[in-house]
Amino acid sequence: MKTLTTVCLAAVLSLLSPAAWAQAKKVVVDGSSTVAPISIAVAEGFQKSPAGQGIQVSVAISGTGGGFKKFCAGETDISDASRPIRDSEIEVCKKNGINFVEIPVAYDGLTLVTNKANDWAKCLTVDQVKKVWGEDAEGVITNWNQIDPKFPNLPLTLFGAGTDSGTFDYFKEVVGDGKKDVRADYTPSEDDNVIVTGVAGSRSALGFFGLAYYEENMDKLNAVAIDNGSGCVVPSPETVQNGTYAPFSRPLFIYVRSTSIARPEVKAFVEYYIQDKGAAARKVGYIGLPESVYAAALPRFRNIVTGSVFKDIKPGTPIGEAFK
Amino acid sequence: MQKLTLTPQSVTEALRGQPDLQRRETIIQMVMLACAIFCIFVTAGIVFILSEVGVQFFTDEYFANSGLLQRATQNLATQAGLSGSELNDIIRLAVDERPVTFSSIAERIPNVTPEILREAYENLKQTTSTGEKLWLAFTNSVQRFFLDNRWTPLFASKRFGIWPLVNGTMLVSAVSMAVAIPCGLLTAIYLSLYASPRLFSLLRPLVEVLAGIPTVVYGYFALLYISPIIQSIYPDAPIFNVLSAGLMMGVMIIPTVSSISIDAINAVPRSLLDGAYALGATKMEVILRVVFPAATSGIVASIILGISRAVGETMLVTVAAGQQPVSYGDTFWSAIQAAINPLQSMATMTAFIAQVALGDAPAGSIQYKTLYAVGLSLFLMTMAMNLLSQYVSTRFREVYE
Repeated sequence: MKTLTTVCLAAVLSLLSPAAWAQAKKVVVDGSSTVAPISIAVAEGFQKSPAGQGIQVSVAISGTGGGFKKFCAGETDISDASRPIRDSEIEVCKKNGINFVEIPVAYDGLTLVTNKANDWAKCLTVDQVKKVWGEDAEGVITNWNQIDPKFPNLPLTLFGAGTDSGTFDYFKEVVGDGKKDVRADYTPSEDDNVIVTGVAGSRSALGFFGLAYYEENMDKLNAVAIDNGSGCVVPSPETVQNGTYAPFSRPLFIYVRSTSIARPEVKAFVEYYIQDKGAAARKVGYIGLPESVYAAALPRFRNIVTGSVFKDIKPGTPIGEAFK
Repeated sequence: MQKLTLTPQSVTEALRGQPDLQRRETIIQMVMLACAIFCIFVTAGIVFILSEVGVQFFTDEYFANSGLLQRATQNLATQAGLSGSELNDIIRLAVDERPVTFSSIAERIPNVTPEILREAYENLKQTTSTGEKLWLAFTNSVQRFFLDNRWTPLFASKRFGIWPLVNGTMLVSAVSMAVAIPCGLLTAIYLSLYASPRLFSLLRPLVEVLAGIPTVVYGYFALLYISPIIQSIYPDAPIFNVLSAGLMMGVMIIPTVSSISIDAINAVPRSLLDGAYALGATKMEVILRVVFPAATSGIVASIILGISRAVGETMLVTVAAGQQPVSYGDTFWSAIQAAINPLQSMATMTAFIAQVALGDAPAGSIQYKTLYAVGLSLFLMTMAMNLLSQYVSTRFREVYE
C-alpha cells in the first residue's frame, strides 16, 4: 500500500514539475475564436499523421488581440489571428525580442441571403448593409422600402449568426466599423440551419451567415451581391480569392514565433498546416486560399522570413499578389 | 375470527407479534419515505441554485458599474447646467463600460470629453464602498429588469427588460389556450356524456396519445405544415411565428385539459344528473346548469394546469416561434400592436434559456446569469399558477354525498 502511494505521489509530482512538461512535445496555440476551429481540425489530422505521433497541440481561444498579447510575451508558439498583426502589437513583440513568420491559412467569408422569391434585392451597397444592420437601425428600419424606395413595401424579417460565433464578430466589425454593435432585433441563431429555414420560409427575410454554408444551400436561398463602390460582386470562392468580394471576406492567419521553429514539433505542425492546403479549413466552413499562396508560404516558413506583409495591405488586394 | 377495522392503528395492532411482516412493512415505508425525501431534496436544491445565481445576477458588478457611471454622468451634467428631461435622457445613456457609451454621453454634455467622464467614473469607483456598490447594483438591475422594454443581453449593447420575453410566453400561451380550452372541454363533455362506453374506451386512449408525442415533433410539425398554411393566407408572415406555434401547442395541451375534465365530470354524482332529467331538463340544460357548476373546480384546475404547461413548454416554441424578442417601437400604439400580433416571431422565456444553452456563454458572465434570472422568473410564474390551481380546486370544490 505504501509503495503504491509513493508511486502515485511520484507520478503526480512528475506531472507537476516543469521539466516533465518541457520534455513532452507540445505546441501551444492561442488566439482568435474564428481561426481556432481550423487549428483544431488541422491538429486532429496532424496527430493522426506519422509526423505528429506523440506531439500534443493545445489550441486555446482568447481572441486575436488576447492571443497576440500572450504571443508577444513569449507564452505561445503560434497565434491564431483573424486580422493582420497591428503595429502596436509588433512593437510589444520587438520589445520582448520576439520575431514571427506570418502565414495566411484560409479565407473567412460572409454572405447576405434572401428568400428565393426576393427579386428586388439582388445587390446591396456596403452603406445599405450598414444602414440596415447597424445599431441605430434597431426598431427604425423595419421595411424593405426604407433601404431603397424602389424596393417593395414589405416588412423586414432579419436572421443572422448567433452572438457567440466568429461570424457574428466579423459582421459586427464590418457593420459597426469596429465601434458600434449590430442591431439586436433579429433572430440570432448559433445553428445555421435555423437561419436557412427562416430565410427560405419567409418571403421578406434578410439574413447573414458564413459563405461556406451558403454554398451548401444555394438551391434554397439567394445570395446578395455586394457593391463596394466598384460594382456588384456576387459572393463565391473565386470572388473571395481574387479579393473583389469585399469587405465581407478576409484572410485568416497564423503567426509562428521564429525561435519556436527550431523545435521539431512546431516545425512539423506548421508544415503540416501549410501542406494541408486548406482542406481542414474547408471542412469546418471556411474557404481555401489559392494553391499558389500555400506553395509560396512553405519556403517562406522554411527560410524563416519574418515580418508582416499584410498589415499595410489595402483590403481587396488579391492575396496571391500580396504574397510572393 | 377477529374482525378487522382498517385504521393505521389497527394495522399496526394486527402486525404486532409478527416481526417478519412488521419488518417488511417498515422497510417499505422507509423506501417510500426515501423517495419522498429525494424528491423534496432535489426540488429544494434546484430552487436554491436558481435563487442563488438569480441573486448573483441582481447584484452583479456590471450593474454596479453602470450605476456608478450614471452617477458620474449626473454629476458632470448637473455641473454643466443641464437639468430636467435633457438630463434624464443623458443619464439613460449610461448603461455600460463600452468606449462608445462614454463618447456618446460626453458628446451631449458641453465641455466634457470621454476622458473626463472616464476619470470621474474611475474616481467614483475608487471612493464608493462595497456595500453601496451592492445596493447600486441591486437597484440598477431591478430597474432595468422590470422597467426596460428591450431584451438584448447577448449583444454588446445590453438591455435587460424581461417583458418582451414574458410577452412572448403569454401570447403563445393565450393562442394555445384559445385552442386547448374549447377543444379540450368539448372533447371531455362528448366523451363523458354523449359517447357510448365502447366509443369512450376507444377514443380516450387516442386523445391521450397526443400527450405522448415528443414536443420537438410538434415543433417541426408546426414549422413545416402549419406555418405554410398560415403563410398562404398571410404571405408576409415569417415562417417562425407565434400563431403556428400557439395553434400546435393548443393541440398538444388538449389531452391535459380533457383528461382532467373528464375525471371531474365523471365525479359528478349520477343522482344529480338523474334528478335533473327527472325534472324534465334537456341534455344541454343538464350540462350547463348541473354538470358544469358541479365540476367547476376540476375544470378550472385542468385549465390552469394547461396554462402552466404552455408557459413551461420549451422545445416547441424554440423550434417554431422564433428566437427574436419582440420589439415595441416608439409609440404606445405600435407597442400594443407588437404585443398582441401573433404573426411575428417572438422569443419566449424558455426559448431564450434554450438559446443561451446552445451558445457558449462563459460561466459566471452576465449572459450566463441572465439565464438564471429568467429561469427564476419562470419558476415564480408557474409556481403562482400552481398555487392558484390548488386554491381554486379547494375553494370551488362541491362536496356531495
